[in-house]
Amino acid sequence: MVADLERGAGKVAKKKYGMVIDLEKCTGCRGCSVSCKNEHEIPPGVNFCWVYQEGPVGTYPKVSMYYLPRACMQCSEPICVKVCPTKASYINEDGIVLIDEDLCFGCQYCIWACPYEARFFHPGKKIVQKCNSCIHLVAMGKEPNCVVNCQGKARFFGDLNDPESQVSRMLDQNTDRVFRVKEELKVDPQVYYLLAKKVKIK
Amino acid sequence: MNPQYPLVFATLLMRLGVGISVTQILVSFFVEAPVAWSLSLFSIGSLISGVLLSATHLGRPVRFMNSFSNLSSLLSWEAILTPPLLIFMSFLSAGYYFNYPQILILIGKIGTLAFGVSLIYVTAKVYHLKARPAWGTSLIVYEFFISALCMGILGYLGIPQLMGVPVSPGGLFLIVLAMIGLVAEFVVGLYYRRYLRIVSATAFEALREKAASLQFYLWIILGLGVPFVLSGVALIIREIPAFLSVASFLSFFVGALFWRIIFFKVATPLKITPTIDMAHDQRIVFP
Amino acid sequence: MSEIKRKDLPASIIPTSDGGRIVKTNCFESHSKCGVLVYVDKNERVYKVTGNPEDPITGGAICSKAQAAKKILYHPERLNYPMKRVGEKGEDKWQRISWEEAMDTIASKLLAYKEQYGPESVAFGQGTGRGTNQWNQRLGKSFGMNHWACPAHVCLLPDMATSMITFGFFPLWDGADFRNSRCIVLWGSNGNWSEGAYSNTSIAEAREKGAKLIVIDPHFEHPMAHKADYWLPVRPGTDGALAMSWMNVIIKENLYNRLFVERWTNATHLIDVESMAPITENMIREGGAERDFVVWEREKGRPVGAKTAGVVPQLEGIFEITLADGNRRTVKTAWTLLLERIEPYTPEKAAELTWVDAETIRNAARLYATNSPGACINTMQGVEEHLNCTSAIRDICCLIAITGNLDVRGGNIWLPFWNEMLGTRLTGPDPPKQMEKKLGNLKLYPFSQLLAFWNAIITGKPYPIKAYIIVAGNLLFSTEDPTLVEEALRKLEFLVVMDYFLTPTAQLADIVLPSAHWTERDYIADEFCGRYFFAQQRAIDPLYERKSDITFMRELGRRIAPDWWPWKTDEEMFDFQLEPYRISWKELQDKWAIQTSPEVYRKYEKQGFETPSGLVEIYSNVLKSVGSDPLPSYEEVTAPTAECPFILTSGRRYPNYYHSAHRGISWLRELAPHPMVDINPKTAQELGIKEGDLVWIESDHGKVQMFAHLTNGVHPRVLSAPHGWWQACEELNLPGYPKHISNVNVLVDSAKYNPEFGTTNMRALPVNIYKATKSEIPGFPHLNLGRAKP
Repeated sequence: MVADLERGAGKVAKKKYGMVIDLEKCTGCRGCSVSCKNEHEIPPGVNFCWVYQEGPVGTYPKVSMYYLPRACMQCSEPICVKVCPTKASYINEDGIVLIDEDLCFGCQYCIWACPYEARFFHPGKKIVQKCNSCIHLVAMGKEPNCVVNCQGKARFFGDLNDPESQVSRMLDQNTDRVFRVKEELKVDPQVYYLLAKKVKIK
Repeated sequence: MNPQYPLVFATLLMRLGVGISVTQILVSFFVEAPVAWSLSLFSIGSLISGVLLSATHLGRPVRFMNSFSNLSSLLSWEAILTPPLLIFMSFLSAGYYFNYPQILILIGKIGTLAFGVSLIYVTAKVYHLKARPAWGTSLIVYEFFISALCMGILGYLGIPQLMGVPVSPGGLFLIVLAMIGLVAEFVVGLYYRRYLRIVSATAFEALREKAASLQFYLWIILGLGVPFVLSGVALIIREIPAFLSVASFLSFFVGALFWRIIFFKVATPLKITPTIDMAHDQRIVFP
Repeated sequence: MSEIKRKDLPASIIPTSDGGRIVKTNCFESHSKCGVLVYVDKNERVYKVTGNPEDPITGGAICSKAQAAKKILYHPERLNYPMKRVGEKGEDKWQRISWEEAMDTIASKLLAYKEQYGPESVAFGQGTGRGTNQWNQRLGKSFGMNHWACPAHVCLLPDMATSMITFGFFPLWDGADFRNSRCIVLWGSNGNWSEGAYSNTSIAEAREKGAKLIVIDPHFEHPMAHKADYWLPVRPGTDGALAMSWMNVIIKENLYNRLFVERWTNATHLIDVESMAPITENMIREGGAERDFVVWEREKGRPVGAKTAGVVPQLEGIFEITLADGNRRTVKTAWTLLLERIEPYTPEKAAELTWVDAETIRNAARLYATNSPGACINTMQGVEEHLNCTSAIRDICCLIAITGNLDVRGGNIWLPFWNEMLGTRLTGPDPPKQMEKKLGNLKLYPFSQLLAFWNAIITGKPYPIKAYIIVAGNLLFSTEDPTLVEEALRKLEFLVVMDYFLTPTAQLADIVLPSAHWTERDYIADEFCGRYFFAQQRAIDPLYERKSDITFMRELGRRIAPDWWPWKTDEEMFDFQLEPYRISWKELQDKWAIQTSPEVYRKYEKQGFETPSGLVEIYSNVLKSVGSDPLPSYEEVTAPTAECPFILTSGRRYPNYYHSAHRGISWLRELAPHPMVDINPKTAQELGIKEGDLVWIESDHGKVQMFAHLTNGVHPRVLSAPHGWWQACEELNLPGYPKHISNVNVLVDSAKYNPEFGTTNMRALPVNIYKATKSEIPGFPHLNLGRAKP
């Protein structure tokens, strides 16, 4: 991704950061959850990044399953930003949804409103927090920590507005497997998943 | 979701205050009689308590003033609508006490009605979220309004008794309205239960869990059944004894409390993971 | 860092502008030894760990355990000082002592025991190893007796020894050349979680290039099962039957590598059908070599020495031969005997035994064979922890051999370090009478059988055991029958345990020593590193008075057997280990990674196979010599009964734990907070068990409590339960499990074991399961997890 950024610098007017997660490579190791804790100060019991497991469904031995890691979907039309009474939740110019810690007063309405369970109440700071795509690392041209350390090398981060970026190319090359979660809610999530090859979803 | 008790009580108190106010105002349009200003003071007190209680559930209540910022957010609108409502209600209360001219009282009433109904609507819509299947239906908005109506009527009839203040006439007509409201709530409740069963397994599970199930039945019995029966008795005997209206109100309030608790409990999150289509076995078949 | 000036830093330690540094080293939480970058700030605090993209195997991928490094390093319950017991054993009363006193006490006591009771009265032991196996063994050997009292009988030894006697090397673990493979078989192995980044990145790369994947595991929740081309959910303990049927399909459909079989295995050797012993050259002619074998020369129709030049041997056949002494014998080639063995194991027969459908068995076998050479089988404890492990592993080894996948690119390759690790250069020569004095009478296990060891401690027979030094081992949780183990450890006169935490095993010690975490010490990353060695160097100096396990072993060695332990520093010892690679520790530190084993395949063409015949032993001469079955076979293990109608497989892997470690680390415990036993929902419904219910699992030997997890991933009559649950996590307010209440090994009877290795039935155990009416977990009274507040 570092190479991506260098190459794309100055060519793409407005960035839209997003992720591609290849579920064919994800092994449900949950290293991404811990990776996130390694990078941010997150209290026990809270995880910005969580890995869901769907299944095994079916009747043994005809069963199927997959893992689904989820951090923040960094929606382009985020409900959380719309409902925040203090405007603490906002979307920055690169498409990352952030929380202004000085404005947030911890009403937790955004936690109710987020369809992806991406937000959490920090019991110490008494405000809401979530995955911020490690913008402090991204600003230095590095990748979010969960992407750097992924044990399956299943996570990719980059500029979706740049057609030559790795994430854009991955979407182009895998159109038969691409899906997003709860697209019908029209929040335009910027985390795309590549379904595990032997699994079909409805 | 774990019931957020400050919010549970806050919305009840808020609905009580606004409901009583609105009922009082509507009755005053149809019946000529002195209006109990102490009741309107009670409504203001109830609304303010609700607002303060709702502020305590904030992580950082000191930053309360930030809540007016976002016009796209219904929560901001809740904040924005409350001060004018309080002003109108206070103005009206003062008007009753100090006998302001009719035109000013009318302004007070219209203002209170407008902001009161809007506040109820906004507060109901705040919970109308797609992210929680149990809250993703307009049924919850209807329920909120109906319960505000019932709360308002039964409170209007019962609270003055508790305060030792004479009840305004028009009571039997209000009783009928309340009974209709209670039946409507019951119907909405049944529809809601059916809705949960269809839309979300986890939400329905949460409803059928032992404690929640008990609370559901208590809501039906105490919240709807008892007031309905007592109201029916009042209709039959053609008067509203003090204990009857007090009991009706208290029973309804406790039932509403249980309903609000269940309301939070069933608010399980949306299932994020897409369902697997088992009809397609993707494993290779050796040629 | 106080002694190291910044300008003297090796190239693998990079100073950063804020006064801190980044250290290239390897994580040690599993065998994967993933390359990591440890970030240290200017106050000598480790604040972050990421993967090192320069790692030649993992490319920077790491798992959750590496990333929890600072939580383990700074955990408040870590042992920080040597302590000696005051009060009764297990009373948890300790007095801090100095290292000086600890070492003096240990050394003097050991030498006194040696003097009075002989060296065999002292044992050294361990748990999972990872860079210390050789030194732990050296301690025993240098002292005079190598008991090596550790759970190797259920971990590593069956795989290693069985493949050593078949091939002369050990290619079943990291020898599976995933990265270059065309077809990967994960057989009773979940390296994707246990040796995470190592396995994941290599397997993923191969699959991107089109490699096929077969997962053989009773549980569908193996992370690769839903991705595999074939998933074979074998009934636990029937791996041998499956391997036999694969050989049946492969041989009958002519998919085996005939050239390799004829040229490089002893399939052509003639075996006497009556004695089942091989014919040797001296038997067929005067002056023939006693240790050379005999084949049937096709052209001339007669038996000749296998090593005779220009002979083309017959692969199949039954012959009558006349021996040099005039006696007549009926002989068959080993291949013919193999054919007889595999004949009944059609896929249909195997389907009956393994509970996997016949078509899948057949197709998977074909997939493996048609992608050979270049297909690999990775097999580990899933096949080892059974009473029939010897035959099961033998069957798999023969499968690899007949398909010609030995030491070929993408197959099961020969990594020389496995011959070195426990070889005499590093561990030293065997002490006198090692084989006579070793406890137990296991046929292929050169160390003391743990069962006999515990009994020797308890009864004093055949000779007393007075002392046991355990370095990095939690024997109460790693081996079967913890009640017996506890009885022994309590009776033991002198127990020393060196560990990170005060484990239940350490609780029973007389002296407890604080182990340094991998961030605090230097090792060579040598085993399970594929073709590489790494400098697994410290990021910071040990905190408090913690010490590297290797340092302890070296210093103890110097006191009890100075001739064997001449090295004054760890660095000198590492230099010694690295000599054959012509590099010093300092140079290795500078480079951080070196390739030790060049990518040369088919080394056997030059070296042959280090077996009695010099060939791959389809017919195992070693097994014959110890009185075991020399040919592949399948043995049924214990069957369910009316009281115990279910089959329990134990020891499932977690990506965030390793054996009994890390339940106390909050970041990791959150990911799997409770011990769950996996049960099929249909079965659960019949028994009235709901998700999260507290249940008893009971065998004829004991019972434990765990929480039920309903999953469609296991057969209705199979249950899967984890091991290693003892530790509480205070930070999360989650309980510990004292008195073995959730220690699955309680269910395993130590009296039933495999005669070659002493392996017990840990993974095909008949059990019963039922709801509990009262929780025996202190501080956790809930009968269902749903009632426990998150």
